Amino acid sequence: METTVEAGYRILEHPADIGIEAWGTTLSDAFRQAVNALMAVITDPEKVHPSEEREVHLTAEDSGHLLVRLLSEALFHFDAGKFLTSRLSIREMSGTAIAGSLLGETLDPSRHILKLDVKAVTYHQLSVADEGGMVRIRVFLDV
Amino acid sequence: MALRKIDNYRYVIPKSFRDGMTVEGLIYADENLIRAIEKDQTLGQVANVATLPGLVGRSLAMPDAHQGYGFAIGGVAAADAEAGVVSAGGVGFDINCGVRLLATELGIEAARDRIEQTVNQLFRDIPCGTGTRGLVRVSFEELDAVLAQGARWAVESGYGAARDLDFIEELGTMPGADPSAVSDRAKQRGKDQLGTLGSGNHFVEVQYVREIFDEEAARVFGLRRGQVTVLIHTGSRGLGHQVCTDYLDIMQSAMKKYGIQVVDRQLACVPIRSPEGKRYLGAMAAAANFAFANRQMITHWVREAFRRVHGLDDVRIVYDVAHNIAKMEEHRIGGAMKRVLVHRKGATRAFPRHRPEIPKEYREVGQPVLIPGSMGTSSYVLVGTELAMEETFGSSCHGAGRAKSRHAAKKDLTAEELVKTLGERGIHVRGASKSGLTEEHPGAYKDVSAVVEVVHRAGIARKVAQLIPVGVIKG
Repeated sequence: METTVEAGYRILEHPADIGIEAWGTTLSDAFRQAVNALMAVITDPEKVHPSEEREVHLTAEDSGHLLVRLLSEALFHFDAGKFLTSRLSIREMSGTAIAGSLLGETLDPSRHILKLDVKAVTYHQLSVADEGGMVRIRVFLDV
Repeated sequence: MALRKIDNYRYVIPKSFRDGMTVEGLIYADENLIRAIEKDQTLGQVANVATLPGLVGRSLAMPDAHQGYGFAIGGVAAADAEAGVVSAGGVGFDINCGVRLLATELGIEAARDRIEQTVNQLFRDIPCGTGTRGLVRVSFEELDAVLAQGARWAVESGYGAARDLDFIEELGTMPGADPSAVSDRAKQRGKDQLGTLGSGNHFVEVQYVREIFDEEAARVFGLRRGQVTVLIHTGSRGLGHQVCTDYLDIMQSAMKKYGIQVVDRQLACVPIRSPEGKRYLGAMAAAANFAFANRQMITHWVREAFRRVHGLDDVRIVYDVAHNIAKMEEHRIGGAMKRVLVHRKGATRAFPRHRPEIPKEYREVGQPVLIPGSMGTSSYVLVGTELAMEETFGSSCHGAGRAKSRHAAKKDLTAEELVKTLGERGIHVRGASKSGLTEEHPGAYKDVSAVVEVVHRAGIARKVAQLIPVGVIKG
């Protein structure tokens, strides 16, 4: 996954925690990068093809809540249906609503490795901040 | 630092520590452990919990405490049953993560040359690792029976005997479970994960009793030197994780309605008596039952393995305790008995003798408190005390507590080196993945013996026995 100054992510490490920092020039870009980061914790995203889709329609109290709901959605599809997300496609988005789909495919143990069991997405130190032309997201996962 | 030392094992966080604290914080630690605790956000999290509405007593942290989400791991907090709140984050994602200790009639010397075979058999029979499905498929209808009945469902389905239930906290069935409060999503996550160990810090460990500290309690628990034991550490899997996710989400929105503001969103909470609070507690109890059923099924496979490898028929449950749970209990608060909801997040119930909640066989000594170590170190059996009832709502520590991040732990050594090092010390290890092993190596955790020593000396539980691993299976 390509990380540039304009858009990207990195994984943050603390005892018993795994965090994600994702950024982009728009909220949509930053959200897409956050989904990529979540999948990079679970598997090698390079090996996942965007051949199937799972619809996403979410509303929330604010952008942080929306992010947790979105990542929880991707996590649910993985844990319940073995669906690995390759990328997030957004049709419509505001700070409190998103419509789009998760593009990816069903786990194939012969091609996909699984790195970590992510239990859940937390609100711990959750942050979605607009830093003047750059949206930066921080969210922690319970693993 | 505003921390006030009371004695060698107690540190108080005064209400002046941060705005909004309605009760004090109290940390159980010695000088070394308090230094470790001060390094991360644990103190701030204990103080944050002390701002929750309707809290009684103190916001507590056990010596194994470390930074968690919202609540610190190793935290205990009790809320007034009428005026207090319930926090989904105060129980955590792995609802009823817990430990169960089994005792065999084997002596380690006679069994030692078949331990490797035992570990291999356990590894074959118990589904473990990331993304693994269980051997048992249940329908949605049957899953509701699991959620309503817990370990009782498992026993009635052929996993174990009715007598097993007497030796499980809540007799293996949390009261008040409401399967209809568990979302279809949670059920979809849990359906294929019943009877699986999972990954992370979950394990099944073959051990033996190396030391007895309290002869009478050990005799009552049926433990003797040299005896082979098995410790199972797992929880409610994806079902519990989704229940917590769902209700954290519900609580984010519902808090407004009740005029509740929290200093950390992960502490989202609602009144215990609100419809959302009641529904959460019903769903939480259902998830707790999933975990009791899970440990019961794994117990069955452990018994099968011991039957096959050692020709052994009798593998007895010593006890089974939850360490992520909220429970309605009666406690003495300021001289009067009060109903409170005790949140234990990475903490174990530790009730003293004569309490009706503990098995009648143990009532003269108290409840067994099971403290798992990490592979390669030791685990402990303790017993609850009267002082714990007075100070900690009858609670004690739950383990060693992580000291290093997974990433840092992985850099310490390779999986091959770890297996070799442990092998040289007589510990056979099987892991579903290399990273699952190295991330969990013993050096990644605090010293469990130091943690146990603090609760013992502080008097909130008493040491009974030390257990040494000889075989481990990890996810």
